[in-house]
Amino acid sequence: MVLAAFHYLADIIPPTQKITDVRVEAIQPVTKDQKTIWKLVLSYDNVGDFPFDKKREYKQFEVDDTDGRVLEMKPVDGK
Amino acid sequence: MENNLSNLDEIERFRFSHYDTHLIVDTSALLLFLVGVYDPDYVEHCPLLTENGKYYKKKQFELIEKIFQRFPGKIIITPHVLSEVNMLSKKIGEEYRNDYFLALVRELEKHQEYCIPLKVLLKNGAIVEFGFTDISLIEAAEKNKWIVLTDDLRLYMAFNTKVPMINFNRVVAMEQLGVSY
Repeated sequence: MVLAAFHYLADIIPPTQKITDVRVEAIQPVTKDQKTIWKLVLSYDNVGDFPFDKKREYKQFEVDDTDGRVLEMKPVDGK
Repeated sequence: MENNLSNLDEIERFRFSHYDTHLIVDTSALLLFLVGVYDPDYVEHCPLLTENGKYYKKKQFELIEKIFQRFPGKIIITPHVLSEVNMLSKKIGEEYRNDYFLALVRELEKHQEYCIPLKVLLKNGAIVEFGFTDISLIEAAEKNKWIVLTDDLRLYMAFNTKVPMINFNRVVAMEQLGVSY
């Protein structure tokens, strides 16, 4: 499921945008509509045009346990 | 200084290179540890550890216990955290409560208390967003160069570049993925 989320992230990032240092921040199984869903959070550095111009971003994914499909991706907002 | 400690190996290495450092513990992480100390088999039945997005089991207690064992005599608890633990512990089933509180008292005797003065907390603008408990951890960690142990992703996101933090969710994730520790 981590790979599924990672590939999903890599696919939706525009080619002009560069991300580095992808990390798994959390994984949690949840039951939704009698199905097991994995909620996971990935973080990465979103690098701008210059190396010092980078920002850590966090995205939460829901991945279907049966077929590894990414059902949802949303940003994790800080408080 | 490495600010993101993801597994027991990294925590161990950090301990060797920062011998005097202490571990300051957030409320949920402390509750998981205390309930597990009381009875590891009760963890997955305890509503405090299985509701509101939590899914803790005996395995996660064993993991947090290993983290605590790496800081013998160097676990720090703030009065704010203790107050939250006390309040939340009242939700534990009545049939368990007496024995749980006895175990809690025995365990807390081994740890240290640290208080950040109210005036210091009030000067921290982040109080509005994070509240007194979270900011007491951050202020104490920043002042003393201690490590914060939390399972609050938003707290971690906001402060992990400022003070060393262990995101317990990440340690659990690494363990689930079979990353060696």
